[in-house]
This record gives sequence, structure tokens and C-alpha cells, in this order.
Amino acid sequence: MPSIQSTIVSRIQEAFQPAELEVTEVSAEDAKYNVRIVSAAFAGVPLIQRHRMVNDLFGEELRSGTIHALGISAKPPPS
Amino acid sequence: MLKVSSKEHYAEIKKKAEGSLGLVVHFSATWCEPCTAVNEHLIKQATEYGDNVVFAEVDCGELGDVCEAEGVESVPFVAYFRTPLVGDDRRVERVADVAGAKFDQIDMNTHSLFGEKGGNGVQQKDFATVDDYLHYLTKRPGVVMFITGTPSRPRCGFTGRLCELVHQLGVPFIYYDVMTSDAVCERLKIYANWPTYPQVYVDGELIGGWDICRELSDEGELKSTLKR
Repeated sequence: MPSIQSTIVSRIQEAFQPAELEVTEVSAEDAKYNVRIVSAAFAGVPLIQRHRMVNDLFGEELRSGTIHALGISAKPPPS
Repeated sequence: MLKVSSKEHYAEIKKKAEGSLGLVVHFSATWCEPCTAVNEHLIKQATEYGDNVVFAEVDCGELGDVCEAEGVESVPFVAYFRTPLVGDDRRVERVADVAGAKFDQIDMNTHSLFGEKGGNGVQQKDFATVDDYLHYLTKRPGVVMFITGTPSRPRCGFTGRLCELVHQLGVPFIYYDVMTSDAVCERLKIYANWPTYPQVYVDGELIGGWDICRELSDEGELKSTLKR
């Protein structure tokens, strides 16, 4: 069973091919994670949609509480 | 507006509130000048809400033991109690407080906890489906925040931080405490396609959760987003 953190990393990498990716386990006990993603996939995408794109990757985990909170920073590379 | 005459009377009033949406208690004192205005304000609300919400006044000069039991150390002080929607234990639960004569906060809490329109026709049971209720809740004009707990008694760090942030901007808002209803708490995540709380709506449109608000704030855009 891969760790939740590694699952987060691999799904984001597969979905967005990020130029930069940082995944932080804020609290293992509380299942809180932060992700900082820089990816061309977010170019021209409104802020809320970017967050939805990331949240949707973990819909099941967020609904079940496997991931309680996912802090998201999702930006396109500086143009 | 009921005038509390004793500790026993206070307990009776709380019991009475179990048959309504909740209870609003104004802790006042005869020597407190702002208390007069707060009381007049709450008497108007009591008239508006009728049997839906119980309003009571405690004179702290006479009933120090009631004030002490409720942890009230200043006047005017308004404490909000909510009657649980379901379950065998119907005891009212303390869910929000307003310390001082802050009429905007009094209005925010009364309208957020018990609904506008004196609480009539705006409760979950007044809608055919949970989604109909969610449509009503989310489409209200202005800033509507779905939070865990209340601004004065947040039940999670994100909720506390968000409410503080919006308060500091001076932007008025109403809230819905998702702990009020399990059905709302679970269904809204799907309805909104947003898996966590808090959720912030502006004029019926979801703008996001804590992360987005913090990011907008860092970029100096949160106030304009909430005010648009």
C-alpha cells in the first residue's frame, strides 16, 4: 500500500506534468496535506477551477475522510 | 422577550426552547447604558421570530450565578443556543456569542442560525428535498459562508481563520454551520462539487474555500471579489 503522500504525488504528476511539485504532510494524524503545483495545465484557468481540478483527483479520499484537508496552491508557470 | 427571574426559571426557559429553533439570551445590567439599545433590538427580533425562537434577558446584577454558570463576564453579552434537529437529546447547545453592543453581529448570528423571514419557510423541513434547501441556502444574495461551527465558536482552524479574515475586511456575511445537519453537510459537498468546508459563495456563486480566499487575500483581491 503506497503512502497517501506518494499517491498524491503520483496522481498529480500523471494529471498535470508539473514543472514544480511540492507535497507536504501537514499532519499524518489529521490526514492534512498541502500541495504546491506549478503546471502549464493551469494556464488561463480560473482559480476555483484549478482547485477543482486538483480536488477531483482525490474526490474519493476527500469524501471518505482518508484525506481530511488538502491545502492547494495551483499556478501556471510565470509567462 | 422573557425576563429571567431565577436560576430555576432560566432552566425552564432552556427547556421551553427545546420546542423551537433555539434560544437567544441577552445578559444585561441596569447600570449598563448600551444594554438598553441591545434589548430594544432583540425585542424587535423576538417579535419577528414569534414562537420560532425564544428570546430571554438575564439581569447580571441580580442573577450573578446564572452569568457565572454561562461564563459571561461582561455586558451586554448575547449568547445563542440552537436546538438539535434530530436525536433523543434535544437540549439546546450554545453555538455563538456576541460580546458588546455589536448590532451587525447580532443580526448576522440571528439570521444565520435561524433564517431570515422570522425563520418561517426557510428551514430544512420546509423544502421537499435536501437539494432544494441547498439551492435556497447557496443562492441567497451577498456573501454566504458554509462553515464548521460559527464565527465566534469555530470548530476548525480554517473556519476560524476565514471568518476573522472576512471580518477584518469589513465585509458583511451570513453563514450556515454545517454541523447543524448531517444531510446538508454531506450533500453540499456533492451539490457544490467541492469536497471540504469552509465554502464561500458570493451572490449564489461558489468562489472556493480557505485556500482560495487566502490566495485572493495575499493578492489584495479578496475584498473586491466578495463585494462584486
